[in-house]
Amino acid sequence: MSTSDRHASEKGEKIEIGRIVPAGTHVEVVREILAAGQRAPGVPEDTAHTPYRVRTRGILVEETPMFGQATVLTPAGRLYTGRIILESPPDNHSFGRRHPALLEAITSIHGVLRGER
Amino acid sequence: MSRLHYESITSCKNEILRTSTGLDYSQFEGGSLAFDYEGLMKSVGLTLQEIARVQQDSGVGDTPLLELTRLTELVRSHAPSGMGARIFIKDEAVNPSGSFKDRRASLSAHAAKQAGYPGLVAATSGNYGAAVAAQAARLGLRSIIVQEMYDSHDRAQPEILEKGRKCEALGAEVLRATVGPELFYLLLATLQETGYFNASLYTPFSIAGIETLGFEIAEQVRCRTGRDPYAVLATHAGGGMVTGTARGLHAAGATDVRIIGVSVDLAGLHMASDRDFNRKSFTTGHTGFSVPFTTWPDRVDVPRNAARSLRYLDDLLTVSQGEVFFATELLARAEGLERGPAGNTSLAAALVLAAQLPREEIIVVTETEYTGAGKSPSAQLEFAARMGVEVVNGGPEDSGRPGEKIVIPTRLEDLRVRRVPLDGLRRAYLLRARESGFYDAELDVAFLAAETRTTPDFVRDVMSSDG
Repeated sequence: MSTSDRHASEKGEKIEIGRIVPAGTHVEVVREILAAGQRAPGVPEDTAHTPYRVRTRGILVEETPMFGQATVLTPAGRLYTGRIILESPPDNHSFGRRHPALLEAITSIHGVLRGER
Repeated sequence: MSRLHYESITSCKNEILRTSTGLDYSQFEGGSLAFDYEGLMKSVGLTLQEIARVQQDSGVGDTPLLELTRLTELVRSHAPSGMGARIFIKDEAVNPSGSFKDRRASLSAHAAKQAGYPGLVAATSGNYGAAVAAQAARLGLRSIIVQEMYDSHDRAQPEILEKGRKCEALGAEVLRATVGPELFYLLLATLQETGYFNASLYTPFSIAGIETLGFEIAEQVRCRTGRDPYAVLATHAGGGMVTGTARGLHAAGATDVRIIGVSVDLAGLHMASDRDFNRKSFTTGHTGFSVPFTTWPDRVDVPRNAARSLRYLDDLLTVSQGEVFFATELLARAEGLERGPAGNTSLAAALVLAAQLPREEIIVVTETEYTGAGKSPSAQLEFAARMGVEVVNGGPEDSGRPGEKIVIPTRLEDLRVRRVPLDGLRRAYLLRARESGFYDAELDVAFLAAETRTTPDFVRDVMSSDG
């Protein structure tokens, strides 16, 4: 599975390869800078076997098929080219759920602050 | 992009760095390891008062010093009789972008504006990106933040995602890279393409900007208590906080205050490993940065690092990831301060150290940082568990194992600090200097003694050793 497919499927979105993304859409693009095996000297072996990639977000300049090569206008006003992998990329990191071990610590803190020990 | 482009850009490194910092570092060099450190710092061209004014104009600094009276009471409730130093914390979270990093970014933005650069570029995975974006925005400059964010499976710590979001919210273009030292290449390529200012974390601007923090701590503690603190605890990674705060304290005449660096223990994890990258729950303030940067500060994106922590450190302590999570929850619930991980690393150590010091002594945690989605212990721990890290409760006999097991204490008295022997770090620095091939016994001994806060005899001894 490619990077982009994995991305879309992780979020449960339907993958529509080739769908046209309209100009003016906020998108995320990815560019491969160095292929696996071409990495900087001295990187750990596990890293050396992976490509070096960079993503950025911007406004799509011209309509482009999803996963196609696209140019975006970045917030700094630069034109940046890469393959579209996300349309309307979300910021969906969260506060998370309380892990039971964290909850145990919090419960203990509450007890101390209530003067129960 | 190609391997060829990568090599062509990295071969122009010196020229790109000279153009993008407006600073010719060669004027401070003497042809060997030694260089004119104070000369480099003076190149900022501003007095401490002028720096404070620049920062004031940008809404930076002059932050509240809060006494953590409830935490001090809790420490005293289990400390030996007569022990339990007063704990203060500098609430740096109230700076425009939510951390002390605004102090560092403000001078860079000021210098860039004065020199006519159209924008700033910074390579960072920390709060510094947001600070550069914020300070650039205030001065009408553009900003690009180069950030190491993902592993090869597109996974990112929630904390890093939040830091990227914040940069974008403040108007920056964010280049979100996968793990690897090629971040430096990305920085160089971006600097060359844009002609922007290199707002490196390690220029003299960045470090001089922190001096106001040390100065404020001295003045505020004196004003509140009539004395100097026994120690300040500074979360330690690249060395900026330790160096800048210490220099500011010295400028205020507070030369006897102990400078204690504190890092999260991540021993055993490789910072450039695709596998290890997401098995840590802290993005900075950890030993993965502090140990290599302390023992060889010039491993940075400028020719000479203005942050040179061995010149200032009196002690280096480590705490575990679980201990910092406990301190974070305790600070929120006991003091009503929901703050992020960087300051709470030092706070965890302060809670231990306070119990070992007499009640009349004062210790100061040098920073807080903002928190929110992604940065909270719950977010980071949920991600750690998903990455296969075991998360359990436990006592002081088990502090966990970075990348495999996080142990969260449930009692304040179970927190511990571990001391990293400074002499070992000093030796490591000197041996690295010897191996660099630039060591000149005639020219460098005095410099290296100053760098390591040792004596010329100590330096000669190590340099002639077998180790």
